[in-house]
Amino acid sequence: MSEMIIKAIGELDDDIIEDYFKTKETFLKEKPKNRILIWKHIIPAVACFVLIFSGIFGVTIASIINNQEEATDSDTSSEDVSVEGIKYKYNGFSVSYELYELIKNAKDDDCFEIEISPYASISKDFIYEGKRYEEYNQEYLQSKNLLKKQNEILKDGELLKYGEILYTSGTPEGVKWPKHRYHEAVEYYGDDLLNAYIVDGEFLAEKLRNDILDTQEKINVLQGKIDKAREAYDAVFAEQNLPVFQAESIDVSIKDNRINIHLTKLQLSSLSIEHKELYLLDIAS
Amino acid sequence: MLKEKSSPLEDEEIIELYWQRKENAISETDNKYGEVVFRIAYNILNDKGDSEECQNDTYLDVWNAIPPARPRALLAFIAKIARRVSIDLYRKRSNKKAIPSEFKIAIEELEYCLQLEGNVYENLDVKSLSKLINTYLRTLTERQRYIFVGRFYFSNSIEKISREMRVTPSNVYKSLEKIKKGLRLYLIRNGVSI
Repeated sequence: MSEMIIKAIGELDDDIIEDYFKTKETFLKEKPKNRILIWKHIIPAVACFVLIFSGIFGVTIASIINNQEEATDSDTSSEDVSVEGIKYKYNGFSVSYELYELIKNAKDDDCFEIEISPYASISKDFIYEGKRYEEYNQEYLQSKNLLKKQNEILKDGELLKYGEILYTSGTPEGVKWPKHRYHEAVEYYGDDLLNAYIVDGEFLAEKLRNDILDTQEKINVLQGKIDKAREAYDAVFAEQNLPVFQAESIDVSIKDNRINIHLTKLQLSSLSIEHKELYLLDIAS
Repeated sequence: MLKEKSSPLEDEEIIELYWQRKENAISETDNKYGEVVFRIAYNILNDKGDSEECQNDTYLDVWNAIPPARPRALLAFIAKIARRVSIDLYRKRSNKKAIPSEFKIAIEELEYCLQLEGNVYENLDVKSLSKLINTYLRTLTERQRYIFVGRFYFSNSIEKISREMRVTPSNVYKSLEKIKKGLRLYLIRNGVSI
């Protein structure tokens, strides 16, 4: 059945796919509403704070002056921000659309609070509670597959309990399957599942219903583990990469498993850390 | 100072390069849509190396298709090819071991919701099912259609869709449930055994 759905979805009309990309463009162009308005009030206040803070620590002033000198050639127009396909970039960093919009319209001394997360998805080999992330993922998919088959056999079990009678003479209720359909079903469910719920010609529907609940519960637990593993991965990533940003003389901390930085647009434009491709920058939530 | 790559060409210019059989048509395509193609493949294959292989195969197929094709919308044209190429590789790879990709999860979601009966093989073919799905999609709002195509055609995660639309994942999830139920009803009303 999957194959049929895959093929049918693959045959969606061209104009529907075209419209999808047009709609996507529209979403990308739409300005986020509330967040920007809030930031319009917060930014001047934070900017003042940073200027005072900079006054106390001369080192930061020097770097800001240097940056300002460098920035004279680079103006603050939207040309600083580039859109590559659907990925937004600033100073070599991948940035969220929201941050992209904010930077585009900001002045050099406007301040941002930015959270930094890993650009790549979680590593398959990341270990969480003694198991690789990939193992949780595999187990999750296997359990989902099992649940699907358990739900299906709930319908088919009452017929499959008759065995080959189902395609030879037909059931006492008069149901008769084509031979190929019977064999496809037996192959699909497999011996383990069939032997678990069809015993001595009896279909154990009640046992199956209980097992479905157990499988569902297992899926929920695994989903929880996967979510927690992702959080743990983010936390490790933040810890490991914190020194990279600390070396840049900017205000940096870890908040909710993410690296948080406070800096001006000018400072952001001159961050010169290596491997910028590792990071995704977004407005701090 | 900040642009890392040259500005992408207009779609018409890229198509013209293909028509003139200029090899930089491929690098220009990669420059403009490489990220999209990679993402389509990755959602299906969940493997960086395989996704890069699909990127290359996609460009080759585009090269072979244009000319004679002169697509009206280049991105949609490339995306369709990328999806097909990636699913072909997915089939090969999944013969050996299950691939835990977003594509697999999305298709299973849809399959689970539709719960088409076994005899659907006998009274419904791919084209008829596809036609019904296309017609159903046209009854939806633009946003609903975006969610459906994003989830089931491009196998984007619910989180990604929600970020793009700037709504919560739970909003997208609820919309998806509604859309899937609607599709199921639509199919039933049109004589599909469910």
